[in-house]
Amino acid sequence: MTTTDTGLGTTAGRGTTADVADLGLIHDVADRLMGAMTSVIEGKPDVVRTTVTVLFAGGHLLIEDVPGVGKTMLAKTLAKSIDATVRRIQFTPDLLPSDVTGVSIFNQDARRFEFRPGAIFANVVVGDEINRASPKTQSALLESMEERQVTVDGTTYTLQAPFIVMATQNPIEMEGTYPLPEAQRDRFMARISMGYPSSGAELDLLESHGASSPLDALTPVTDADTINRVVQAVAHVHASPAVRQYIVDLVARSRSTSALRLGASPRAGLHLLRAARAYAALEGRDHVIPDDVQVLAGPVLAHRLMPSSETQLARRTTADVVTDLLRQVPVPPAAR
Amino acid sequence: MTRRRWRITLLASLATLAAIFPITSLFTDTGWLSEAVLVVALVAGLGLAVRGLTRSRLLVVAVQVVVTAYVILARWTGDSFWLALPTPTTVEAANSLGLQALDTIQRYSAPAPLNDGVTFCLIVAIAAVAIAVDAMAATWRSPAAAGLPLLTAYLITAANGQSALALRFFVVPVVLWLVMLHTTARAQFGRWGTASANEQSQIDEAAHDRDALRSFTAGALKLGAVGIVAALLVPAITPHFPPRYLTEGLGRSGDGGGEGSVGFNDTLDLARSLNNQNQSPVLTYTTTAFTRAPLRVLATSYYSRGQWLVVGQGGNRPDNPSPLPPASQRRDYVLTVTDNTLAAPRIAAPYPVVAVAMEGTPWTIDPVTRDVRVGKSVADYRVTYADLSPSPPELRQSGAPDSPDITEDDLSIPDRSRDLVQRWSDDVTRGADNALDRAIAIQTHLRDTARYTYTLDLGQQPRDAEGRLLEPIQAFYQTRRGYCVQFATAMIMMARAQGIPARMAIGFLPGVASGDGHYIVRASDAHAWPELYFQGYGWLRFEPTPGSRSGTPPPYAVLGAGGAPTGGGRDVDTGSASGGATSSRRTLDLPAAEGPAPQQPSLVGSIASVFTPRNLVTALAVLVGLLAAFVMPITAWWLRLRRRRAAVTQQDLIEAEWQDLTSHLGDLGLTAPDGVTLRQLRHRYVTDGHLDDENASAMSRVTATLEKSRYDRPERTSPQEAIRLHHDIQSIRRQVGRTRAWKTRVKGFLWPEAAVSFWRSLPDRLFDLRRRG
Repeated sequence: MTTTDTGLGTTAGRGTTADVADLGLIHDVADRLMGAMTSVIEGKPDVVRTTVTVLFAGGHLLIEDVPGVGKTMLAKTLAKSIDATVRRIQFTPDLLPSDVTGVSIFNQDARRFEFRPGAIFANVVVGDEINRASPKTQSALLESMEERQVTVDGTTYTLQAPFIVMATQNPIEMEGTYPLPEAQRDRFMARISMGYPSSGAELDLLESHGASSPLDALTPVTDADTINRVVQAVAHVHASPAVRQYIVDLVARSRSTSALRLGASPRAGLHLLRAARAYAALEGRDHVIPDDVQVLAGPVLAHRLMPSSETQLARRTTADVVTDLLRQVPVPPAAR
Repeated sequence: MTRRRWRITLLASLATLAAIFPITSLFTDTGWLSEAVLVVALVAGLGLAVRGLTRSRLLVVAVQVVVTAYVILARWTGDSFWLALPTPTTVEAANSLGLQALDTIQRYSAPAPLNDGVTFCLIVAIAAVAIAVDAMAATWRSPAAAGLPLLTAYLITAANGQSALALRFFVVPVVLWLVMLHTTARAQFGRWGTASANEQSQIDEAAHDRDALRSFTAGALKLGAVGIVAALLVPAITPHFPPRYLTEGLGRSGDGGGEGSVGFNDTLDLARSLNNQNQSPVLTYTTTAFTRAPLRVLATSYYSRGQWLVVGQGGNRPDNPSPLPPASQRRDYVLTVTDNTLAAPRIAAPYPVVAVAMEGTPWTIDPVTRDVRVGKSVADYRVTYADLSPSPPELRQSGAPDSPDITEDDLSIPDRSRDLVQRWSDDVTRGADNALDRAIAIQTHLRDTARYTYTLDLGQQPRDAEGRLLEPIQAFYQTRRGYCVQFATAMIMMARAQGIPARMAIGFLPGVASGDGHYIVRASDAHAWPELYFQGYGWLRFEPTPGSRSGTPPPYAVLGAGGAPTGGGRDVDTGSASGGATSSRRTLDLPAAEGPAPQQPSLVGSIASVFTPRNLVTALAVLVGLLAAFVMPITAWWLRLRRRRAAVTQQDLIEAEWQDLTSHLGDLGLTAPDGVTLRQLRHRYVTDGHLDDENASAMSRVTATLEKSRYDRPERTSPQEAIRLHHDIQSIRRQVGRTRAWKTRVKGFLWPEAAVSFWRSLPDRLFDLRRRG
């Protein structure tokens, strides 16, 4: 197991000339990945794009939607496209933290404790219905997500890179669930909704999924090492002071607006910048522009915010509030 | 600034102008009107500009008052300014102008002559009205209250005018006022609507509001229409004293109106009586005389500032009229007047009156002029008057004039015209060695229709080299046009120049026979003629006015010509013509000898005359006005320049260019809302700006360059890109400008948002600076 620098917020202070992002590599990998995924997830290019963005940015993804729209399919598709270790955890109320992180078992032969890694020890972890697990188990998962390491019985085990958790949850069926607290949602870089497919896409879906799942035919198009290199390259995408200022302005405004009870955390700003870098790279640019930030502000910020009671009464979601914020906050350098 | 503020300001100034317009009937000259228009426009412009900058209503009015007062003072008392600022002398100058106005107003009744003092006070009053109307209608948005100052302006005329005001003088300002009310009511009602409409049902709410507004305004209109109809109908069907309110004039029953009596005001302006062709009868009379004489109403000797005035009693006046010649040398006739409508205290009678018989009121004969005055108007009276019929030889031998009823006014000539009159009369009377012959020569000269034209239309009054109106005698000399007043005045002045006491008589021509021995005198028979004094015979009538609307010359003035040394009437005519050359030639000859009005001023002189202090102050005021009008464009230009100068890096320069473009397009209606990225803005500019393909790609280049400069690594932006950016931006500006309405472009030029926000934020920034300092 190796420790990998994910490039988290490290380019800001560096010199610029030496760190030109390898756009060719990024573009190549992205093309192949998105091609593979689109063959399974039809009619949802935006969702696929955001998923790849989060992967390249080294973040985790929360997929929240009603049952049956393909949440798990999306997660499995991404997992299968990469030649890497994949684990899937079906969260249930009786799932124990040790099932996730691993456990030390006394080896009778060796007469010592041996560590049996849990489900989290993989490059891609698909967590199905994460809100069905007990808060204790959720905490175990979320802690390791952020720190990229697991501590069991005083021993710290580093998770291998790349490491992406794709968790799904169902917002409708709330009985017997433990909704993720906002503080823990903060660990996910982005939350996406699948949404229902268009009628044409749904027709295609009925046809293609009739006999066998296209997932079965999917072969890996890249590997863990390449993804690691891409994540490193993305970190070298240039974010100008103006763009960084824009992100700070947005985050600051979310804390001062009366529409929200809880604004965005500093980590939210960090995640937004990283996601924007990845997105810019996907767009073939080696510098971030405010448009990238605007595209990702909804997925990256909305799930972290808590609406004020007025906002709830007006039946407005935090995503609507983020749209308002984007409309209000001037794009720097301000016109006047 | 909204469009409605424009509209309401415009309406307010138009209403003000309409309300003050009747004042034109109070003065002989309309020279003040252009100044009034300028002042009203100034007030409106200031109001618009300052309201655009500040929300403080008091500040708006304060700026209007201060700037307008400054401009008015600069215009009329500019000579007393020091370094373009008023001084204590200015107050004195303004005070003397006010005194002059007071004097004029007390001395004259309408229409009064216009002088600097009157104009000054009038403009001050108009400025006050304009500021009040603008403040109420536009600044405080309650045009209903603005009706009061408008009414005040209107009442200036109604209270001072001699005649009833025409209906249109009232209707126009009232209509404008109503439109103003309507506009503001609409605006305010519309504002309730938008405030209550919420996002979800905006369309329905708006439609609902429109319906409500429509019914509201329709109701208001109906109410207003009913009010006006009632105002017209009720006086028409109820018993009333003439004249009817509204339909027959407003304000007051006038002396010279369609009905009522005929009066003479003390300023003796016959032009109105003559001009209106008024056919209403003044009186009807029978007479025992075979030849009818004009009926005199009054006489006066006092001539001032181009007008004949009846002055108050005073000075050395005899107690009784000087006695008439003994009965043997005269023949008395009796004139019986019926249906007299002439207003008291005047009555008409031939001159000289011997006795008056009337019932119901006391009467007096003026010791100097022999005017008959009565206590109140009487319908019927009888006067006995004398016909002296002196013979020309006797008149030729009459001695030097010396009588208590000759005043010093009878020989005075206005200073400005003295030289001209003297030369003119010397020229005309050359060869005549006694008073009668001189008088006849003058009369014959003036009655020559080849030289002089009888007309009621004096035309454009000539002005001297400095632009002042000429003294009427000089004007008559130049234009050779006029009616009885001009001819009589000319004869009086020429006679006075020749040493013959002369005065002005006003009255009526004898009128026309009505068939049964009665004669009818109508208002249009009003006439003026000179009376010259001959020792032993008193004041004798002469008739210098040519044309049909004139009396016949008395026998001594015609017969006398037969025995005159220069021969008959015709001979006199030719004689004086040959003696004084032809008139057209003379008008060329004589002025050459004139001192005060050189015909060919030197070039330097004419240039110097342009640069009078007053002209300079006016020019300065115009310059300040222009600067004020262009202060916003100039500010915007200066801000652009400053930004460009402040640009250090390539990026700064590109930002400056971009800011120029966004603020320019913002002025043209393509605003850049907060929170839009460059790409979104580009899309908006291309679609809403109707950019063609070429400019759309220019726009793409511009945003790409800007994006690179802003968000990419700084060293990647090349100077060439900045230069291309400049050209692209110019091209886009032109293209977008072409697609906008000219009004938007003019507003964008005169009222650029960048400059407006600069001025708006100036107080805050100054405050910040002081706090930091």
